[in-house]
Amino acid sequence: MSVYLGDNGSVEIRRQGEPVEVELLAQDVDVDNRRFGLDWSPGDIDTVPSPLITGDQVEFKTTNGSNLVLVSGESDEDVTRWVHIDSAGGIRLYSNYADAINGGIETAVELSQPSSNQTITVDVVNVNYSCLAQISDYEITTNRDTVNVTELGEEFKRFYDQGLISGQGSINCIWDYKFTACADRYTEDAEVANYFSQLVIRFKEGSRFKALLTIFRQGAQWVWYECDCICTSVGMSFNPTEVIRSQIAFITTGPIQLKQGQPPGYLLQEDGFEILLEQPPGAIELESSV
Amino acid sequence: MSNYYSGQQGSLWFCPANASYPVPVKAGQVTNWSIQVSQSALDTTVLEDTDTTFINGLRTTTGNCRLYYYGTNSSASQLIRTILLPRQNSNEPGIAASTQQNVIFKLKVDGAGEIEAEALITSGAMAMSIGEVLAVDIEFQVQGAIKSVTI
Repeated sequence: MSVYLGDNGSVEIRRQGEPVEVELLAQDVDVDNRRFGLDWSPGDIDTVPSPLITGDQVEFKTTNGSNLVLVSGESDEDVTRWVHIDSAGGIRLYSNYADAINGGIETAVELSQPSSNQTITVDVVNVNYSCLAQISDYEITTNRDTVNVTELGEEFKRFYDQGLISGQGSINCIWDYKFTACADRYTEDAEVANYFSQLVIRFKEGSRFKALLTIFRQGAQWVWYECDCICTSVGMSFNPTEVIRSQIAFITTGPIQLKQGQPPGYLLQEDGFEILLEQPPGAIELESSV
Repeated sequence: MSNYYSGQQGSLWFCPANASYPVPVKAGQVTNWSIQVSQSALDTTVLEDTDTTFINGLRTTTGNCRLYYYGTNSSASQLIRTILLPRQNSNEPGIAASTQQNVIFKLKVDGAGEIEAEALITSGAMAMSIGEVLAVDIEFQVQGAIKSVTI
């Protein structure tokens, strides 16, 4: 028998969202500044914040199947890029996550000037899992509902054993907002606690994310929970003598799986990018056995 | 001997009232039963009276019970099928294949006594929902006076 410490635990997340239909106005595309805007609440006097979060891998797709005129050199009906959202809600597109987090005009994707307005769907379709940086601890609890089926005349309680399964948990991390590459055990990009602060107040697209909650990791032997989660609260406290910490609470939605083996890997192209599925989100996964 | 009673001592027995030998048998998967008796009061108050007077009117007895559904042979299935009657044939939607029969209920409290009554099932309900066990809710109205009381 062995005992295990928590130092092998980790949390990886994959950003998710819901498709939102929106009008891309030709006049809102600024080719010179490689920047465009979307009106998320047409007709409303009050402007609403963008549902996209800097670092999201987003698919922009026309609703009628026509070619999307937005990114220079692209002529398909859809285009997928990472986004950077500025304080005014303007959007710049980038070819990778790190550039999107850092922002700036130099690395932004060049745009094309549309000749007319286009109705498009905007969907967060992140393929990769990113490790969550600076976690001090996390916990997950899985529950099974019980239904009391005790009948008249019985002296001991009995319960129906196939009630619904649910889960919830919390993650405590040191707050950060800047992009950092994971340089320790992971070769992935890093998500920081500020993402959850933005996620929980995200407009329209909800606060869902996919999580791999690793319990143990040694070589190719991993044990982890895999589930879709909804971020339900983020708390932060400020004290002059202490670092800022984020307390992130979440609940699970749909199946919870406790897996053992190797986490998902993807078939890569020569440039290191995944081969995306025609029906997003997702990329061609590698199957492996341990 | 005085005692308190709870669901552990309770049980529900039933049988068709038109059976040759109507001897109630114990129902399974019962979660609760209840019975209510009400007595109407006929007002006999007249002019110059200072207080209401009345005479006994009719008495009405109703009850209900809840049983978990446990397959087609379960008590829940038998009870709901006394009111859930299929039509005689597809051409006559307004005529059921059989008439509804009364049921004899025995509501028993072990160590205390029982109430036995012939009743008409006036309502049967079953609803399937997430997170709950399928159950049948039965409401009944007692035919005339109850048959016996030893409680």
